[in-house]
Formats: sequence, structure tokens, C-alpha cells
Amino acid sequence: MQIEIIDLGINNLDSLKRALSGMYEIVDIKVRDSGQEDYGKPNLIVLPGVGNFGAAANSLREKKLDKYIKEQHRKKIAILGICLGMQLLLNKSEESSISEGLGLIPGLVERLDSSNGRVPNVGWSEINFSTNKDSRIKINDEANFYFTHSYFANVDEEFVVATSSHGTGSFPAIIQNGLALGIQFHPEKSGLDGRLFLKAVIQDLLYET
Amino acid sequence: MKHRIIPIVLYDGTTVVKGKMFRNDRTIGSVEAIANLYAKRRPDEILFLDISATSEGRSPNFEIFEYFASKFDVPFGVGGGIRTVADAKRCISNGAEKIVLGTIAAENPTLITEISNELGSQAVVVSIDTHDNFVFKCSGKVPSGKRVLDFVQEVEKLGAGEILLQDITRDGTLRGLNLNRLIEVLKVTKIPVIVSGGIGKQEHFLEAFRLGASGVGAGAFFQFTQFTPNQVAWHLKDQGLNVRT
Repeated sequence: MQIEIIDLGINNLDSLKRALSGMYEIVDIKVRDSGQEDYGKPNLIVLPGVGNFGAAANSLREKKLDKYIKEQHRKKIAILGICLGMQLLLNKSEESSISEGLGLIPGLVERLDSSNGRVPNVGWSEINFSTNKDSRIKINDEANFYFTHSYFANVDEEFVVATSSHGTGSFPAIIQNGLALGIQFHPEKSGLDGRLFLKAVIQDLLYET
Repeated sequence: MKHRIIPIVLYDGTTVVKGKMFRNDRTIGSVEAIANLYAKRRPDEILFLDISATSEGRSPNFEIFEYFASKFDVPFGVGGGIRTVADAKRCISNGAEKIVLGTIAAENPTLITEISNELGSQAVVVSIDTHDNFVFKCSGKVPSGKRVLDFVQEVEKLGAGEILLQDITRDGTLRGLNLNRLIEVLKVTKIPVIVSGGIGKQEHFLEAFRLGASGVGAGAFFQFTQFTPNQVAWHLKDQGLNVRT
């Protein structure tokens, strides 16, 4: 099992590395900070991220990581985006109108509506799987996950795997388009529930490859 | 979103301290030991505030954040002594989920904007130490001249993602939160508010959550009474509140 974590140079990758490495008996984790190195074919690429969409999209481009990720996606490698990493899988963001995302899942990143609830949306919440999608991801009904975001993925219903609530409104918590899957919350900061979820979602993604 | 129960750990860079009304003269233990203890209690999140970094003109103890990150599988925030965007980035890259700005936010409010432009506003908590209707700085010792409600609106506009609303004369007294001030603050801002200062029993959490606080922070309550964050969560759940147990 080989997993590559994309390093945009902003956030700490240790909690993610710990969560991933506890998952399988043998897991080889490579941290990639440019599109050039050849580490051999990965089973999965994880794109985490915090901060500003524009800054992260620029960083992807400067390090030639955007080309690399798109190329791997064409070669049927699974891509998992977390938080800002999920937003980067989409086409564009209101946060930075000139920056382009990876476009692996069609959709736009938009600001949460403060008439529904307080923004940023911070804290623990449950998620609800879409009834029209037959997801193989199984989690404890009462599992809680940590969210911290001001923007959300506005995508067509067909790409929404699960939703969560923001005050009186709701937004996609998990989105998927084939081998590209995005998670709005932080499974690596969500205790045991988060680790169990991460394992379930990765197993599901690898089942597709 | 579930209500958050947030232990607040005050330390001087290495040693955890706690007292009353911002005079923190009682030593509790090493910050590593206390972090270990809280990590086992799986709080919703936790804040580590270095209360002497600013007064001693010292940088935050960045190395200790890596230790916290190795122990916690839930988010933690750090504050005290953060003066620049580079400081803030180093806190995040060492594993903190969010940074807390206190004195510096009152003295140099544009730093709030600079940090939130880089790290996102969700990473920036502004700690507001209040007495009557005024904001104090330097661990509650020096009046900033700013009024609480004006300052709340100012920091929201500048890009703060959360407010940590503290009350100097209630801190450590266990006599209950300043609920009137909480109500006033919630009315003038759209960002989440964590209220602290005076928690002494489980009902105090209940009152603040029912009024609309996103989080309630407690220091002395968790240091000096038998209660743990998870016990409080179960108690609140029994009362019908939406909390994580």
C-alpha cells in the first residue's frame, strides 16, 4: 500500500500521517512537494490543505503539482481531497476568482450563507449520507466529525455522497466523481470516529481502482 | 453544529498555572503532563494560552506545539506571544489548528487581516479580555481604551474567525459567566463566540449554550473540580442539548 501526501507547505501533515499509517500493517507514505520526483506508482494520493484557495492553487501550479495530480487521475489513481484540498478538486472558488482548481469534480466553491448560521462553521457535526447514492462507506450513525470552514462545495446532486448542516441550511460534506473524492471536514482531527471513517473511505476508493 | 466544551490551559511556556482574576500564581504541573491528561479525556478541542510570553517579550514555545500535536487527535489552538504572520504560520505548521491573538490584536489589529489572508479566518481566534464595557490587554493589566462591542465588530471586519470572550473579574472564581455581556456580543457579530471566565458548575455551560454561545471555555473548573469535559457533555445531553459525547 503506497500513499502519497501532497505537501503545500502550509499545514502540519503529522496527524494525517499518523492516521494513515495506523490503518494498514504495511503502508508506505511518501510526502510529495513537487511534481517532478518519481516515487513509483501510488495506490492513493491525498491532498490536504488549510488557508486561502488562491494561495493554495498558485502553490499547486508553481510546484507543478496540478499537472502531476491530473496526470495520475488520468492513470486511474484515486485522489482524496481534505478540507481546502477538497475545494481544490473543483473548478473555481469565490474566494479567489482568478485561480483555477483541478477540475476533477465539476463545481464551484462558494461562501457559506451567514443568514443560515455563524460563519465560519466551526465544530463537531454528524453527516447524512444521500439516500439516492448507494455508498459502500459504512460508519457509526452517531459518528462526529470536526468541521472548520467558511466556504463549501456547490456541486450537482449526483456528486454529493453526504451532507452536513450549517445552521438552518446544509452543504455537501463528502463529494465524489469516480476516483476523485473530497471531504469537507478533518477526519485526521476527528478522534477515533475520524480514523475509522478515513479507513472506510479509502477502502471504498481503492475498491473502485 | 454541536456546542463545544473547551478546556483552557494557561501556562508560562513550560508550566501550567491557574489563579483568580488573571492573577495566575498557582502552579499546576508541567504543560506536557497536563496535555497528556487532557488528550486522554478527548475534549471537543483545547486552547493552550501562554500568559507570560508577551510580558516577557518572548516568542511562543513552538517546539511544545509539536508535542501537543503528537498527543491530540482533536483540534487545539495556541496563543500568547504571536506577533507576526510568520509566527502564526509556524504555529499551524507545528500542528495547531488555530491561533489565538490577545494583546497584539488590540495593539495592531491589522495583523488579524494579514494572518487570516494567509491561513483563512477559521484559523484566527481573537481573545477579548473584558472588564465592565472595556477591553484590556497585557493579561488584563492595561486598559486598551477600546469598548467591547466596538472591538468585536472591528475584529470581525478585519477577518477574525472566532471570538474568545473573557471576563477578568469572574476568571477563576467559579461563580458563573457574564451572560449579559455574552448576549450583547452575540447580537453584534456573525462569527462564533467562545465564552469563558467564571464557569463553576455544569449548569453554567447550559445557560451559555442556550443563549447561543458556540463554545464554552473553562480553566479552573476542569483544574480544580472533579468534572471532566466528557462528564459535562453527558450531563448536557441529558438536558437535551446537542453536544458530542
